[in-house]
Amino acid sequence: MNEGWWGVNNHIKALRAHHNLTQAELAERLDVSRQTVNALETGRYDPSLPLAFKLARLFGQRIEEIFNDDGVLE
Amino acid sequence: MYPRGKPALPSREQRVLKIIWAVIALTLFAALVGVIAAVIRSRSQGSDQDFLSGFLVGVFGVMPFGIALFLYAAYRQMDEFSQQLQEKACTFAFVMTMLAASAGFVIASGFKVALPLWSLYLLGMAAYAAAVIRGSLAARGGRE
Repeated sequence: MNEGWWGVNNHIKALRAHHNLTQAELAERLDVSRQTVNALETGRYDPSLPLAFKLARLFGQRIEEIFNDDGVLE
Repeated sequence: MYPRGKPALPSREQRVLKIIWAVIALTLFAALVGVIAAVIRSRSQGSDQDFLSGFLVGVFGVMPFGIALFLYAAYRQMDEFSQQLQEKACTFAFVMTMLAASAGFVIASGFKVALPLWSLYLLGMAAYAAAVIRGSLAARGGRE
């Protein structure tokens, strides 16, 4: 699990590996750059809601199953 | 589960790169027009009556707007992370340029030294480039 700057964790890297996708392939499906996928996976960037929904749809999961703030933002 | 193969449309990165190449070509063309206009003006002893000289100066003056339009198109094609990176870099460059301009005013009035205007341009572009490079490197070296 990768932790972002504001305490938001995500499972994108694990999900990508589970679906046997490269960073470039995931970037292509999300219509973003590979740099963005890398920044998301390493927790350097928290996506906008539209991009988070896109990710959730692509992996067939709910947003809160991919992203988790562990109550930090409450 | 996920079909592999070539996408039907060029990727976002390719679209941005295409516009950036157009910006580079236009910038080089603008520089060429500027040089030609300067040579013609120097040969005609700076006469504003020369049609070609005046025409080229006019074209040269309009080109920055074309370049700005292309740059905006490139920005619109970028994804949200790249747009944020550009916004941060532009903000940093703006602040640095304003600080330099303020310092320049003080130096010019206090020490009677006139700083060349191009130094502000150079500083702004350098600050912008440094911020883009720093942001790109930081994105690559994220925490695991």
